[in-house]
Amino acid sequence: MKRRDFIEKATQTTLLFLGAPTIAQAKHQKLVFSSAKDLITGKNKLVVSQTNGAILKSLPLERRFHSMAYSPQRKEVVFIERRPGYTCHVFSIEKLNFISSFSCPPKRHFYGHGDFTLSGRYLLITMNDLETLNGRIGIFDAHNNYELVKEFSSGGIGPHEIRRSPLSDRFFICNGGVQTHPDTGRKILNPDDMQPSLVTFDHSLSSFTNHALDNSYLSIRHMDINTQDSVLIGVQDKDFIPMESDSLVALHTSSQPLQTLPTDTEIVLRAQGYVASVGLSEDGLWGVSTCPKGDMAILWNLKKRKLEKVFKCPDASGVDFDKKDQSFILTSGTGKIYRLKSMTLTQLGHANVQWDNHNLAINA
Amino acid sequence: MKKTLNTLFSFFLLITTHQALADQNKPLMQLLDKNFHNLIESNQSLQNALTENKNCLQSEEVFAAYDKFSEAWQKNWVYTVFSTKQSNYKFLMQFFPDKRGRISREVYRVISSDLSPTEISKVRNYGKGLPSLEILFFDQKIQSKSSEERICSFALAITNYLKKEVITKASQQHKDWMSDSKTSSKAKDIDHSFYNSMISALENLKKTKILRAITGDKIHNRRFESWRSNSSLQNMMNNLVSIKEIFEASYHQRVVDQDYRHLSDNFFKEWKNLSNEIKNFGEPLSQTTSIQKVNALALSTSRLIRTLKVMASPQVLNIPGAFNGADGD
Repeated sequence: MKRRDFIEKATQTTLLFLGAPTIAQAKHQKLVFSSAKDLITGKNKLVVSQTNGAILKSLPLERRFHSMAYSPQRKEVVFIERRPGYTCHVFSIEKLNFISSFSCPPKRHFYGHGDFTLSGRYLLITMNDLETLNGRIGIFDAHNNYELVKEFSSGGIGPHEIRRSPLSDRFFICNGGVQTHPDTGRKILNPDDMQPSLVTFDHSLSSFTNHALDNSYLSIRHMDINTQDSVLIGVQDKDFIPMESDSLVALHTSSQPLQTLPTDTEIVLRAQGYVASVGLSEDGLWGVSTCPKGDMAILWNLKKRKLEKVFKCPDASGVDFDKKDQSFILTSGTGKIYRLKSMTLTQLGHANVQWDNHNLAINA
Repeated sequence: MKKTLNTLFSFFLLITTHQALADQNKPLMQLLDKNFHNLIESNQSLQNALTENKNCLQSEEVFAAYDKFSEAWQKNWVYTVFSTKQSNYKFLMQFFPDKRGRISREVYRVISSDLSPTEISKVRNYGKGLPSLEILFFDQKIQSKSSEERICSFALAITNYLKKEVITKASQQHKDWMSDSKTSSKAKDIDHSFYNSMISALENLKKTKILRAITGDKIHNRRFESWRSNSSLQNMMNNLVSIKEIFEASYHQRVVDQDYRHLSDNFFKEWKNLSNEIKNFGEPLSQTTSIQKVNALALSTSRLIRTLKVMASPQVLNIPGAFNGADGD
C-alpha cells in the first residue's frame, strides 16, 4: 500500500470512529457554502461544510460553478454556473439537497452571480447577450420554478456581480467592461475600449445611475454592500503593467462617489492587480479583499480609506461577513477556512477540497 | 479513549509525513542556494568588469559577465514567477513583457538628460533592470546618442542598484525558503509551490516569450525577450535547464517510487524535444520569419507542460495546482 493511500484510509477510519457531522449537530452553527474542486478526484462539487472543515454535504456539479444567491425566506441557495455558464441549481437548506435546476434563456450565458429581491420572490442574474455582447440582467421568478419573467440591459458590458442593498430593493451591478464570447474563451475582445461601471437601480427598474473610475482598465468586478449602502468594490486590472498599477479596491458611499483606495505599488504588484472577492463589515468600517495571485488577504480601514493589514493566505478566494460574530469568514484554494477578526486571521479548519472563488457563510 | 488514540495516531502520521517532506526538500534547497549564489556572484563579476573596463562596449570581459548575470537570472526566474510574491523582485529585476516600450524610452530619457549616474534613484524602476543593461550594451541608437563613458557609468550604476535594492532584498526571501524548508509544517507548501512554479513558468514562457510575438499571420520580432542581444532562445534554454534541475532534485525519484517511471520518462523526452528544437532553431528569434517554427516551439512547450500536469494528479504526486490564483474570474 502506498503511503498516501495509507494516510487516506487511516483518516477515513478516524472519521468513522469520531462520527461524521450531521445537519442536526450543525444546527445553529455557521455553515459555509461554496462550489469546490475535490482534491482527490479533481471533480467539481457543491460543498456545505462547518467552519472547522467538516463536510455536511457534497453533491457533484457537472462543471465549475461560481457564486451563490441566498433566499432566507425560501431557505434556498441558488448555485450559479461560472462564466460562460448556462445552468443554476437550487439547493434546499432544509432538505440538504438540490431541489431543481434552471437554464439561462437562449443566446445568453450566465456570468456566475445573482441576488434575490428583498421579498425573496425574484432572482436577478447577470447575463451576456451572445449576439450583441451587451450585458443583460435576467429576472427569474422563484415562485414559478425560476422562470424568466423579464430581462433588461445591465447598462454596460460584461456585468459580473449583482447585489441588493440589505434593506431595500436597490440593486448594484458591477459591469466589468470586459467583452468576451464563449467561442473565444476568456480572450478580451475590447482591450482598448473597456468602460467598466457601477450601476445602481431600483427593482422597479427606475432611477438608473452610473459610476465609473478614472482608470478604464480596472474592471469593476466584485462587491459587498452594507445597510448604509456603502459599496466596497474589488477590481481586476486588465492591463496589468508592473510598476504602474495603483489600485485593488474602490469605495462608493452615499456621500462620496466611487473612488479607488490608495495602495502601495508593492502590494498591487504582489496581488498582480487582481482581487477575487470582497467583504464588507456591517458598520462599513472594515473591508476585506482576497488576492489569490498574491497569496494574501487584505484588511482595509474604510473610515481612514487606507490599507490596514496584509495577511499571508495562499490562494485566498471567498470572503463573507459573519454578522453574528462580526467577523469575516475566508476560504481558500488550499481547502482552508479562516476567520478574520480583530486584525487577526485564524485558521478554523480544513477540508479536502479547493474552495472556489466565493463562499456564503450563514447560520443553519 | 478510542477517540483520543485515533486523534493521536492521525497527529503522528501528520508529523511523520511532514518531516519526510522536509527531508525530501533538501536537494531542492541546495539547488536554489546554488542558483541564488550564482546570481549574487555574477552580479558582482559584472560590477568588477564594469569598474575595471571604462570602455565597457569594447570589453569581452564585460559582455561575458553580462551573459553570466543574465543566465543566472533566467535560472532564478523560473521559480520567482511563482514563489517570490512576498518580495516581487522579479519585477524590479526584469519586468517582461514591456507592453508599451517604456523601458527603452526611459533609458533614452536618462541617457539624453543631465542626470548623473550617482542619481540613479531618480530613474524610474523599470529603467534600471536587466533589460536596461541590454539596451545600453546592445542598442546601436543609444550608443550613437551618448558617450561610451556615460553608457558604462550608467551600466555600473544599474548593476550596483540591482545588487543593493533587488538582490539584497530578495535574499530575505531566499533565507525564508531555506528556513521554511526545515520546518516540517511548511515543507508541504514549499513542495507544492515549487512544482507549480515549473508549470507556471512554462505557461508564462509559452505565452510571453513565444506566442506574444505572433498575431495572425504576422511575426513581431521585437516582441521576443532580449531581442537586441539575440538571446531569446538562450534565455528559454536557461529556463528549461533550471526546470529540469528542479524536477530532478525533488520530484523525479518520487514519481519513480510511485511506479510511474514512464511519466517521468515522458517529461525527459518532451524536455529533450523542446531543447533540441531550441538548439536547432537555426537563427535568432529576433530574425526569424517562420511562424511555423515559432508555433512548433509553443506546441512542444505545451507538451512539456502536460507531462508535469499529469504527474501532479492525485494518483501520482498529488500536488493541487493554484486554483483561484491560476484561473479566477
